[in-house]
Amino acid sequence: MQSDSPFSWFKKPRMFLAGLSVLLSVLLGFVLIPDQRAITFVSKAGFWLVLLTFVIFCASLWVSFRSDLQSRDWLRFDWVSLVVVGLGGTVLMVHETFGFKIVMDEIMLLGTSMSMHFDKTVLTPVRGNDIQGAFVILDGMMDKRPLFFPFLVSLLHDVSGYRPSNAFVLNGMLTFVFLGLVNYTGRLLAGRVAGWFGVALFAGLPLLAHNATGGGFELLNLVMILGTLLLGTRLLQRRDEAAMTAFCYSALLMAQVRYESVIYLMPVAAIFGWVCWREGRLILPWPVIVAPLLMVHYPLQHRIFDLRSSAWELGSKPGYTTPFSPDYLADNLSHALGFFFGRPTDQPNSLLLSALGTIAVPFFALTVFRWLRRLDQAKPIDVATTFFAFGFAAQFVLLMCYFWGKFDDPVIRRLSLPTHLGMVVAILAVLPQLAGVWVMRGLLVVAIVALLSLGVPSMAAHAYSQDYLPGRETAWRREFMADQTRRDYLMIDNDSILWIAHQVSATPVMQARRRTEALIFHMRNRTFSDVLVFQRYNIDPETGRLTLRKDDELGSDFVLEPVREERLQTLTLTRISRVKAIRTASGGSSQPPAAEPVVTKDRAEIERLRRAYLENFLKQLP
Amino acid sequence: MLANLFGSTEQRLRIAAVSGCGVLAVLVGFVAFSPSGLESFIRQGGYHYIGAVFGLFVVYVWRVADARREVWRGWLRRPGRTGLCLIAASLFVLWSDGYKHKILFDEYVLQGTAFQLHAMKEYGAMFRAYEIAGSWVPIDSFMDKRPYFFAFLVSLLHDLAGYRLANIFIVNSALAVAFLPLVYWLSRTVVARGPALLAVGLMASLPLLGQNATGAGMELHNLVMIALTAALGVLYLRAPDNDRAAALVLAAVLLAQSRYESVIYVLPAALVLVLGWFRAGRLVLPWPAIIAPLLLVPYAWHNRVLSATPQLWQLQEGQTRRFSFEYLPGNLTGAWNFFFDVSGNLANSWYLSAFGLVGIFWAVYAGWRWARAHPRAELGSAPVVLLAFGAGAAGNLGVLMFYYWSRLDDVIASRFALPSCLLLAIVAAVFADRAGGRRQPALRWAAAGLVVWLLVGALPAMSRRLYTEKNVLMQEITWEHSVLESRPGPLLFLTNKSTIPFVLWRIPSLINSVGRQRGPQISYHLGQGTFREVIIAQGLRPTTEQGDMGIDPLDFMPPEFELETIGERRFGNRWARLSRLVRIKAPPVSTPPPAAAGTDGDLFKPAPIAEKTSTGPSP
Repeated sequence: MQSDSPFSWFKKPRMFLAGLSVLLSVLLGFVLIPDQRAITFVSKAGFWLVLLTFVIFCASLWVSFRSDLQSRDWLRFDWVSLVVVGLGGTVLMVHETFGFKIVMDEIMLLGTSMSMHFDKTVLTPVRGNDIQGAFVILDGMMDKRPLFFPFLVSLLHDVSGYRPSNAFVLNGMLTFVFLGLVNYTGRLLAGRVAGWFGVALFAGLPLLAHNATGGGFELLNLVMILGTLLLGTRLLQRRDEAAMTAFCYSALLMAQVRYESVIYLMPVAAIFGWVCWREGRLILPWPVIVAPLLMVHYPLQHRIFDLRSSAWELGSKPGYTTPFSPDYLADNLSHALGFFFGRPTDQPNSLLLSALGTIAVPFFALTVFRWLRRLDQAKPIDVATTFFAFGFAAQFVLLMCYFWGKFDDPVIRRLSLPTHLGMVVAILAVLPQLAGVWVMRGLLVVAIVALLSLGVPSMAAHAYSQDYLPGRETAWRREFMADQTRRDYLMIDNDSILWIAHQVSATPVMQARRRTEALIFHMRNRTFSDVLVFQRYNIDPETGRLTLRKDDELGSDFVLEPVREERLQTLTLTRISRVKAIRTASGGSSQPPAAEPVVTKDRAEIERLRRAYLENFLKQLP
Repeated sequence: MLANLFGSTEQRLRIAAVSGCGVLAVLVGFVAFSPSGLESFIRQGGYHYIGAVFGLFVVYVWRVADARREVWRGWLRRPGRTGLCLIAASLFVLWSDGYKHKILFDEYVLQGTAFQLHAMKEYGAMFRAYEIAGSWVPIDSFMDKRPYFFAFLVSLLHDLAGYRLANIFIVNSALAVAFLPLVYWLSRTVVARGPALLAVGLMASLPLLGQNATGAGMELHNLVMIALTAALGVLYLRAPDNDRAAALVLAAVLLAQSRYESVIYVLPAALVLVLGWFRAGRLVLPWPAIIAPLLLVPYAWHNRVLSATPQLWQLQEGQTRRFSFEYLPGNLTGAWNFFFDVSGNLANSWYLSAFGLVGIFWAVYAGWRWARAHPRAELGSAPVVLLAFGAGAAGNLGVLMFYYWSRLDDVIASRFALPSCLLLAIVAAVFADRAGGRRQPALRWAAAGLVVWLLVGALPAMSRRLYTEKNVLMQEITWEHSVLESRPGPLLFLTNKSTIPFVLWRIPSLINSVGRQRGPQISYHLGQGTFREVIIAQGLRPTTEQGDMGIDPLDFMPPEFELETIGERRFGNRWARLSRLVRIKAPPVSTPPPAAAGTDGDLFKPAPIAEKTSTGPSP
């Protein structure tokens, strides 16, 4: 097998080119392009680089699996497992409400998908208006989030037309794909029943249901991690160029789903090295050689963290100065325990999965150690699982060292999903060594019982999401939008991107305060059917007095009339009001003139005024 | 050869007959009748004329198809990958834009004409209609300028499936599905399968095609007729016989009735017919071909009525003629802007334009080499027909360049470029087939270019659809319709645009200028309960650079019309207002009305209505 020394590989032209490609990527990604130009580059080229990566990935899958698909006997296909996956996915879909659960992450992703769809650029729209009869994005900002998820949503927009709910459609589809992959992984590790057991464990996890019906990238992250693990297994089996291309490009796309998923490139590199070493030759097809160049935008986009200090969101947690530190470990671990073993009403956890996972992890560590000692004799799935075990562990440690890595926080608990995946993989890996087939069947029954008795009631009540007010306010605002027969109103809201992503003109409160004259201009000329403002009041539990949230204050010049309000939590009142008038110190009025002005009969003069007004109109847009 | 063609008595008689028909057609079409008398001929006889020609065409096409039954049955039974590609391309075209009216008011006029053809079997477009005793009765119609074969087809669907506005979209969708196989077939007659599919891809990725396939205009029908006539020309020239000749001639007559300028294609069709005689070595002149000149007389009549009715020309301010050299520079600039626009704001394909243009240069060079070659290779049937119809398409574009409203970069006029795009697609396919070497076939690069164009140009443009969505007048009409539909009714609508869309929606409607003069009649019918309310549309215009909107002087209502605003809305750079007629006050000099007509000196004061507001958020 080992026909060549690894050092001699470097004399081969392909290896030289691969080295050149890596060097060029490093130079472009980290050295040559200055910060501002980096952002412009990602904005203009990001979509195309992801598209190219995705096309090569799909093509490599086709090349690798074509013969399998053609020779497959579909009559002998495991339809029962398909039904199990279908049932599991359905359980995850039906109990939760579809909506944007994590604000602003999911809205930012939607915004990026919007500009990818309309302009093929990578920008989150921050200004948009209907100027000539169609809603157009006027301005945008670069988001820090990786691009693969918004890219896939934009593809859905391309195919079915732009609608924000396409994010839910994608996550719905990914849920079934993910359970299918779990089933296949279980089958490889411990047999058919283990596959069903894995599906049952995930189907009973409310956190997964919460994200499966949301607009975030968590499901895609799980799919890509598990998909890459399985493609690694295939590479270990086949050791050919097609499998190598599919594996490497899967890893490339996986790294572009969530920030920390880049960690899994370590096991990917290890599998790559292991396969080449075992094969005694470099398996380096052309797509893999150019692959580093297709990742150039990733470090460039990461410059946002240098340019925008707020990108780490350290300000949202007072007292923290660095995003990562071992000092956070102890506190985060206690929060992680709090999440995994919290009450189902408080946390969207699965007590069964947490318990089995906690028991399985030490045994899994021993198993991995054992596999490592005889790696050359291990099954491909065991080798891939061994390397990915380090990825799961590294990611968990990284999150425990993150200043905001508290798994019981409503915004953060979704970050535990890869850890859940690691636990399920651990359970499935140790099962054949600890238990016979009857124990496995018994565990399957227990998982189904836990799903029905713990998981489903928890998902149906989804009490764990009720204390996350921004999520509920987002759903409330989307209800408001759906109730409107017209979209030509202007909303003043600090989360203006939410409205713009739904093709409604919007501006933040501070901008409205700054540009009062422009708002007066538009109200006088009835540019918008209404000017509305979204505000949140805090309620004093003693006196019942309403106090406006500081950032929502428009000032006393704005005369407001409540349109819709609701107490989404006991001590908050969320309200949308109509701006009836704006008073100014100069005496300007936002009301149209009382006596209707007379229009000249000269058509040329009307046209001249119309053009002059339009120029003015564009300047005054919020 | 000529002796063979005119040798027999029968052949000489046939030539004499067709010549006689030609002379008669000129006399009847251009000399015998004055335009004033022709209108009633067209209005009363147009439906029956087009019905008869279409019926005859169907018979001959069926006879041609029946003789080739094995060929097309094989295609249907085993469509293969080509069939899949054509289905996918057709679906892509239908997906690429939304089903809606795109061109105002042409498409509504066509629908009005189709309604009249369906309901009254006469040619005209209704613009005034009322519900009388439960029936929707057209009161007034006018003779439109547009050829009416497409409207006739829509009326046939109304006859078969019942009247509904959506029928026009069904017809256009069916035409889109028919068009791409025709493009493939035509291209396939001169190139291999790959380049023929490239031509299909080039057309399918043209946003203009999707825009018209999902609209309510007659452009796609015109395009299908051009392609179908050319295809029948190829079939005829391959094996000239009476049935194929008749089908070709009748297709050309119907093509002339598909768009104004499509009469140009009668010339290539006639040329192909005559070339067929030389190929067959005998005269092929069936009786439909003999009477063909007479079948074109209604077109001549229609054109003369249009020429004599300047109101139908829709000239803009300062224009006095429909065709003039002075329009040429602007139109040429517009054409260049359209064909090579890269902004995505127009429904063009710069890839098709550039590739097609290279193909045309290559074709000219190839033609020059062919002309210099000794001996010259004989041209096949398909190249001859495609050259003839290509010249027709070029002539079509040439004529348009002298027309007052043919700036192709105007989204309303872009559709006129479709025949040229068809020509460019086929030329590009021929170029891709012949250019390049064995190791670097041009087709591979062309296909890669098509994918790049699709990703970089077509899909983003189709996502935004600015060429469709910027039609603010359409948005305004849709809004007015939604407001009218939300009110209890029955109502009368006074519009500042056209009554045609509203009467098609069965909403009694008058234009403002007429409504202004009909105060007493409106009062009478309000009093009688014919209408529960009257809604009036007016445009708002800025009076200063700061806005301060006032009512457009053209939309002013008399002072005795007391109005109450029920909605205002901006549509891009247009502002619209809808008002409810509160009452019509008695004119100062009129005699007092009878007590039953109203109180306080009012001609009429409608009862208050619980309004369903459709604007603004609900409290």
